[in-house]
Amino acid sequence: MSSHAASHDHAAHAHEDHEHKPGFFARWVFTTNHKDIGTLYLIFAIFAGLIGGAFSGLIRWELAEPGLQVFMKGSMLDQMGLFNLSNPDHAKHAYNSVVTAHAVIMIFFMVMPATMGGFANWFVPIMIGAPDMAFPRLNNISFWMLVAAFVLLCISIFTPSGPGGEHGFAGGWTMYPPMSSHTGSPGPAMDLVILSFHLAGASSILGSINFITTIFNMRAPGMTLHRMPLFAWSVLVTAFLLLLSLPVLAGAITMLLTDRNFGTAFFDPTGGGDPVMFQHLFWFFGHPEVYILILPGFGIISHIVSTFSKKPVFGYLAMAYAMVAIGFVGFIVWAHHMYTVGLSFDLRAYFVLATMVIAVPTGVKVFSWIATMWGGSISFTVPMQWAIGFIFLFTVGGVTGVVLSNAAVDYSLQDTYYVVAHFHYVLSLGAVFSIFAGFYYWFEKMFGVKYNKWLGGAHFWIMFIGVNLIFFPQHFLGLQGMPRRYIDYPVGFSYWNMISSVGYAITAVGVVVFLIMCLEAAIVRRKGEANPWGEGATTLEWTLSSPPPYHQFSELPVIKEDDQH
Amino acid sequence: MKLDRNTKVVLYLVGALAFMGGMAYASVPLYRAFCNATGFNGTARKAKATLANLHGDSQAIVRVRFDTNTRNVPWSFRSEKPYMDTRVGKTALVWFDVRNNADHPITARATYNVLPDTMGAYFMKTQCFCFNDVTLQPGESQRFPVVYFLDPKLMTNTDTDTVEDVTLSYTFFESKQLQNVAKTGS
Repeated sequence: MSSHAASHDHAAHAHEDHEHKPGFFARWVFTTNHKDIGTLYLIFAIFAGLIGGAFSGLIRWELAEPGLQVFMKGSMLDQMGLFNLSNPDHAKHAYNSVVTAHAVIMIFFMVMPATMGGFANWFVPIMIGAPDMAFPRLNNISFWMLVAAFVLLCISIFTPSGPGGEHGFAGGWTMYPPMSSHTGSPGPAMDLVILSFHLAGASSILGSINFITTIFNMRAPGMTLHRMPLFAWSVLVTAFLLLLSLPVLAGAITMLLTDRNFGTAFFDPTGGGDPVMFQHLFWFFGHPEVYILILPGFGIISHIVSTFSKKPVFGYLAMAYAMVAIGFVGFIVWAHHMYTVGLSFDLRAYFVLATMVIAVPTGVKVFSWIATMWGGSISFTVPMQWAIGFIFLFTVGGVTGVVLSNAAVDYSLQDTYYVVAHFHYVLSLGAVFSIFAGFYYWFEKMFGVKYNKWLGGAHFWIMFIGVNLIFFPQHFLGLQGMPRRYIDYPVGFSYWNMISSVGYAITAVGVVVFLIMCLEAAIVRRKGEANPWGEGATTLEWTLSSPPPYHQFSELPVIKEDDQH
Repeated sequence: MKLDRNTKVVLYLVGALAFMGGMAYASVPLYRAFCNATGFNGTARKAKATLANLHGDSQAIVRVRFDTNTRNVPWSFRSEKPYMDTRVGKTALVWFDVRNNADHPITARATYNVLPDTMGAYFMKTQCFCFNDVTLQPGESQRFPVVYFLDPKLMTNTDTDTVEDVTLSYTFFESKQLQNVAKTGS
């Protein structure tokens, strides 16, 4: 974006005199600079988010009315020729493969690159007073592995998969066998998905090793763990979750790969395997994964709420250890995704209880954000609007989560739109709002130019109305029994489905406003200030120029007590 | 040799990584051992005949249904009766008939499951044909006995004390894969 133009004030920062930037190609392809890699991740996340968002548009368009309209022969989509819609079976498969690709892209190629790739790379080294990451070249390979993973996934969408030669893996991001095994998906699409997950997983594992080492070893003098900003804490916890959960996913999908291609039978009952075993392994990874998506957002929101209330975060230590507690408990609740596989009563009782316990540290966080605002001198800037929007939407998603944690309730709501509404409230609305909040909070810092506040505000309100209109009616649909992952539904569900699709159209307008906001800022180039937010912004990134010098902290900052959070 | 600080942290982290990856694979035999030991997930259990007498007997009657399937094996496979009303704690015997309809010898192996899953822990088989390969010549038929009993402990579990119907399901699979399986996973 703006990073080529280093027209900022050199005089104020003597150490910038050494600034030396390589040429365009060497700078952006071979980069080992944490800020450039962060920018690459953010651009990648926006790009992938647009593709994933377009896929969700196809889903909502198809579901706007009962019957088949988009995924069918002769439709506009068919004329584009992207998907094979030659007969109804292929069309239904194409619909489900779009649902699958939407999920995988949004999780692995949008939210994770934005939070753990973009913001964490940009601000963790700066916040802890380090000149760069511990392993800068590892950082570069993490990014490019993710790009390769994305390419593999995109190829898989157009590769034969189903028994009838249908294209694209259509078994959902959870990839349960036998849908993902040779029986359900004999084509090479599933193998490409597995390899894509391997690469994306390796990328995240290398990234998390890098973050943990950076945070443990490269904190500036005086920056103890208990003085470290909450965003750095959130990234530390997230990195541990990635490190401990991803190898289990890697193991599970490697077994799936050998089941498919090399005649093993880990999940194949004909050889004594058990498909439910895959669900256990998958959710042992999958549940921590949803905390991986949201925890960095918790960190971002803490900074924003504190900055614009002009108060330190309420209960700093409780906030940090609440994230540790969420991370730990996240590993022992996985089977609440599989209440209906036939767990015994006692096991279900345990998983219900453990799941409900998560509401406690999460409640600590929500109440602490509110307590931080309480009595503060609040300014409702664009990032603060997004942050408050996040707190509201995340709490709604959390409440429906407690409803679903009851095994008895889940028996009837499993795989309905109620579940879809729940996880979109915490992720599509929660995590995505935290990403936009962080983007508007750090935009000036990262790119050195100011954005148009009016456009930022319009983006917020249009998105807020749009996403609520999409997902709130899905609670009603779920309670009425509408199942997920079907291309069609009975006429009785059409009212709320139409409203949900209208909400999508509004959200799409919001995304266009976002892109206009970025373009406008890039064209007009209002020069950014080092600290536009004033006294509330106390973390180290605000002591640097905007954008920060190419190499910061040649002299390490010294942190004294009470400087931080 | 003194390791530098970063290398030390990385070694710990790679150790954690290897441990978790190893556990993912170790979970396969562990899960199987766990299922066999507890009957979790409908794994019917092999038992010694004497167990039946240890737990005594009960007045409860459970209808045990027999379900027979083949997958990609041209065999006819049926049980001599569709169901048996079985008294909890009493040993029962049922016969299964298998015939190879193909013109060549076929080796197959039966896998089984019990529904509802929670009954797996209490469905004890003292004799069955499910743990070995079966080879039938063209046109050959064979009769297999299954001796089983329902462990009276099921009356003390709230998951199972109201169950009136249990299904024991067998499926014959062609056994060509099994040599590979033995090498890799199980």
